[in-house]
Amino acid sequence: MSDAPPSRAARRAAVAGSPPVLLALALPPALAAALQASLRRPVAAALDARATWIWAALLASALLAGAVAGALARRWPGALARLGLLVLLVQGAVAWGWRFRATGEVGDGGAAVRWLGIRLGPWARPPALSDFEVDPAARVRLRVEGHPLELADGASGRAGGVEVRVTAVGAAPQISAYWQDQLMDQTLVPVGSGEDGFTQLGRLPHRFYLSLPEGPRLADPVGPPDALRVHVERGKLVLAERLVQRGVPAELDHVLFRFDEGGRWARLEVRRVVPPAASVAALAGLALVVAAAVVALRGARRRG
Amino acid sequence: MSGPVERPLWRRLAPLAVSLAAFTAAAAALDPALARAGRWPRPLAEPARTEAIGTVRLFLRFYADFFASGGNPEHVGDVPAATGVKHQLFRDLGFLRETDRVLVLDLATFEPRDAVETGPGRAEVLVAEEWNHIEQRPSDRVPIGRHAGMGRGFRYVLRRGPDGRWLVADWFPDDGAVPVPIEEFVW
Repeated sequence: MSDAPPSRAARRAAVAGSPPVLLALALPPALAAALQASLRRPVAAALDARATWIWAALLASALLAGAVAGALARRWPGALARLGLLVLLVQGAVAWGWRFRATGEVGDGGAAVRWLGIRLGPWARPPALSDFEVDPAARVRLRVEGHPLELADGASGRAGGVEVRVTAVGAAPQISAYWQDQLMDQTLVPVGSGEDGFTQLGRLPHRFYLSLPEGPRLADPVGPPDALRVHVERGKLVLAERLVQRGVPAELDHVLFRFDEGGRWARLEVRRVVPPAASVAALAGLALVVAAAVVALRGARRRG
Repeated sequence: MSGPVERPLWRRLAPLAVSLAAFTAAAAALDPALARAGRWPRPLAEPARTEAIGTVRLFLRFYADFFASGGNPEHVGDVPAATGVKHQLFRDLGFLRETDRVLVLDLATFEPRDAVETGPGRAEVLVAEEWNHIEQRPSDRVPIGRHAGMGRGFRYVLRRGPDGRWLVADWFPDDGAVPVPIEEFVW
């Protein structure tokens, strides 16, 4: 230990990094998260709160001050422990801030992914997915953050720091609606995705609910279906519930409806994976805390 | 030689108390949703419940009037509905006009079954409805088809408007509130 009296700045840093101050800064966010959990509210709301991030920044500053003060005073166990905790805190904040997990639906030729149920940190952005293609063998090809990825139905893979898993594939027939001999709209509609969504075509007010006919699952899930069950509503009224054959026009409330072979769709589970550097940082933090404990233990043994 | 003077407990707990108080104040100022956040959905309390159900009832009165008038937009500003809902309504009315039809709707039954708060300034009202309806020719109001009736459940999504009043932001069928399975004219 140094014999020179510590400077005023060193004394202040030591106070800032003292256990009571560290505890005072760490406890409020921890209590807020515990309160959320006890009320069965999402803990993520407490961890995402701006107040939590401010207190985490203050705690990081206090840990840094304590580590510096400990090093200046050559109190190595305390300095190492604070440095280790600081690394763990920063690593946790980075991993939480950039977390991303969502389900995405993509289709042949579709320019964008349709995200469902996104969970992401305050600094995270959805990863860039593009150039989707589902081939007749139900293999999904896409670019993830610019990197090519090819996956079979049910398989998962990584590219560009993003893990992608294919959870479902299906057909997306081409739907056409004609009114007064004019094509009102033509679009690809995913069917068999298990969602009860509806489709609106052009400026028609009708809501078209499309589903695969009941029966055994098709041997070829991405092949065009021979028939579709079409449920049509307008306003409060149910206008039609009919089985429509592929390529055969059907008149539904003055609208001529038909479907033909179109494309294919896929549903993906997407999550950002922790980069190896972050894992190394966490391990380094843990190692520092363990080293501090070992040094403290040896010191205590020496003192008797 | 005297030992180190032990500080009183209140002085040792002072930093923690100050930090807790400051954190609470900061969270209240910066993250007000955190304090308000609860488990959604939860039952809509009075008087908001009566207001929300009244808004749906008023919306349906305007809804039926617009169809009966063949799409006269005179009172469109009075409809307690968001712009998207009004657009969809007038898209429907326009289609009927272009196919030379008027739809006359009569609300026979209106039974609110549930009203829940789904978030700050957001609610959903589930209603079992029975409607009589008939299509007429606009020129002489001669019926085109026959009288018919239907009973269905509908869920109305409401949000508070800028003036604090409820607005119908969306609505869709809901099988959770089917009054009576009818296909014929009610009365």
